Amino acid sequence: MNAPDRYDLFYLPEGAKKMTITPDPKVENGATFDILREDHTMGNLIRSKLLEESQVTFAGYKVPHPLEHNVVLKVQTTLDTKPEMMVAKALNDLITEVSYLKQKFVEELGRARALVIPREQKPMEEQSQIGIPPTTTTTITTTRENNTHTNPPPAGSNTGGVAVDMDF
Amino acid sequence: MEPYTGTINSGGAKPEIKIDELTSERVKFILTNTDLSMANALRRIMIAEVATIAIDMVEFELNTSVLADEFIAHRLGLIPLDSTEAEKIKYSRECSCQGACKECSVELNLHVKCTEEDTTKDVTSRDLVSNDPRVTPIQDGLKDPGILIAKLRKGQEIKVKCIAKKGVAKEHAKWSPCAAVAFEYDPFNKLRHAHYWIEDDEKKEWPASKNAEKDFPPGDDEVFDFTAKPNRFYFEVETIGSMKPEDIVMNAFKKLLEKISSVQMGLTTNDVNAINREPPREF
Ligand SMILES: [Zn+2]
Repeated sequence: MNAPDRYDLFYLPEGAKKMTITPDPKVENGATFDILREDHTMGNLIRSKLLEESQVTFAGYKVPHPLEHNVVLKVQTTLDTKPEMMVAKALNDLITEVSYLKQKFVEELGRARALVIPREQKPMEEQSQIGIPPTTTTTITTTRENNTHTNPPPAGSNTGGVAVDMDF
Repeated sequence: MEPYTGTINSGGAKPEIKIDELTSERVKFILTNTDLSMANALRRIMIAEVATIAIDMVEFELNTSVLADEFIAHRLGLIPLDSTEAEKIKYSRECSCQGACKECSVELNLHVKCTEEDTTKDVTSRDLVSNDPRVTPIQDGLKDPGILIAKLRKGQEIKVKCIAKKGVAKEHAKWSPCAAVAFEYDPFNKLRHAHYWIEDDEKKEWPASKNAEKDFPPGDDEVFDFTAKPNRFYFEVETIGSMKPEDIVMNAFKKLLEKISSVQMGLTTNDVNAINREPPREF
């Protein structure tokens, strides 16, 4: 009846601000960042990235209430910078790091799919059935004994053989 | 690829990923030279924030089976549907339609009746007929009997219309693409993050995990390094079948980037000049 929408825990309400910054009234160069619709995933990630910086003197986060899906981040920096600048830098660094890891994973997939790691292969008659497209699990067709790619990729798929999906 | 320009961790090395095993149902990889928070964020996103498609609404036209409507609806929701194309489907709350349309949902119909005497008829995921060939209940070859939904006796019948929607497991666990995400670091417990209960011999009572073969054992007289941080993470991602395991990892990376960007947007749209910058109060 009065239950909140299920998607309320990750969907930013219309017109709401994702982040509000409040300077600390007592601490110089300290600020509180209220981030809406985030949880420990982002809170802890930003906090630990901030703590890698020598200009950050304090960084901590909390999820104030388990039924309210918000994160509060507190940051204090040295006087030569500002908390929001350090948070911006932390977010930038995170983007670089995740993008790099993502690309590394794509490269590794190419290697893994091509030769080193075998995919199990099912007999042809099990691969397709009328009305139901072949299961996607069989698109990679490398075997330990035979490294040539025998099966054509199913229609509409660009994932045949050694090729790595570059749409990632 | 572009040279790495991000921050380099205290060890002075770039983050790395190495895939150890890749099969149709699992991928094992080692994530190194990054922080525990990064590894944990990846794990949490793979479990709860990678979008898949699952049955979300069931309209019962007929149910004369012994099972209640809600019970069957719940079972239908948990059936993994092929979600390889989930990215091309909209979230229905973001769709311009009212309720459900082709852009944001898939209709699956099920109509089974038992007509034979003295036999039970199994209603399985194979009886679901999808109106979208991209989104079907997953099936492992022809011999796969499908997932059991209900059993019918003579004269009993089930006729339902299911609406499958895109969602994430934060909303309901049925949308999780992962059966399990194993996540381990420091198999030798060099960091003392685990506190073992020991009767006589720690090594005998707490044998090292399989990942210990890929880690560096401590020296016999190695001193405890209290500044050490975990930087080698062993992952094993197992899919429930709705998605290839490597796609789960890829989509998790994409989702993580999206999340960071949305926070970044939130920060930049804050007009810095408008922030109330009062001088610190005196006490
Ligand atoms: Zn729609």
